[in-house]
Amino acid sequence: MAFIFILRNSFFLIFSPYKIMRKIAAETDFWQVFLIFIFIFAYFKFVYFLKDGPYPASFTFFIFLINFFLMILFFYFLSRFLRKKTQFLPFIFTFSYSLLPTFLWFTSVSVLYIFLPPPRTSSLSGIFFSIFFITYSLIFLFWKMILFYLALRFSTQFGFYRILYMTILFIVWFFPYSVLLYYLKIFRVPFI
Amino acid sequence: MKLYSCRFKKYINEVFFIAPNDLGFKLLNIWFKKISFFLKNMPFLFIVPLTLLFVLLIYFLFGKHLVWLTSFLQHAF
Repeated sequence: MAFIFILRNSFFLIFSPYKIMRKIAAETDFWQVFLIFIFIFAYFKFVYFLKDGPYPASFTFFIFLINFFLMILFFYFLSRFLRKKTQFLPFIFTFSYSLLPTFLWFTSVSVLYIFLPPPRTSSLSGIFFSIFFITYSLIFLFWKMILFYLALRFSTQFGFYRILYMTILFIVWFFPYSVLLYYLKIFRVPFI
Repeated sequence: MKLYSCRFKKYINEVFFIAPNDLGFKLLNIWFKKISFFLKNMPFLFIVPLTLLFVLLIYFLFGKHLVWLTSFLQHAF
């Protein structure tokens, strides 16, 4: 049943993200979150076989969980500091669903790596592919930004400016943290 | 009748459980509402063409750096 809900919610997050994210913020079915995490673990297992000298999938998944819960706890405590009535559950559900663009992008890039392995060249086909790939990636990034904003909007119930300030504060610590993960060769692009 | 009333009440509570955004200026609020209207429903109709235009502009500005970025991102997983 949770799987069907995930499919339905994911489908509507494409077409009407605002309406469905509002519903997700009121969810209480933890099986959905659990299943989302299982999909993500399956992804880490899959890419383990594509990388050279990789960390074990369980290790990268553990680091992902740390990243994810650090992010949620950061936003939760910050919003609780500003508004006492803030609840924790909407953060878990909305941010779990906001992983959908991340999951789809990472999965598609790893599949593409098998069929069209890098590096790209400056030939005509290489340039066309680059334009397509960057457009594709940016579309997912914008979708992620919309879901991220909506996750914060419905979890914290704050206005645009507060969400913007909170995001800036988040970037202040998360960017150096991501650079550290990059140098440790755990994540080249943070999986959040 | 009572059932519809309950459903309506639930829907209203769902819709109005957060206050609408106020950006401080009337003009900003109008533009914010206009842009968010497109992003709330079918955002890809708005995002896809704009992103393509943006990437073409980036390509004309930075040229082959785009190829380097693609190679980097293809290793991202």
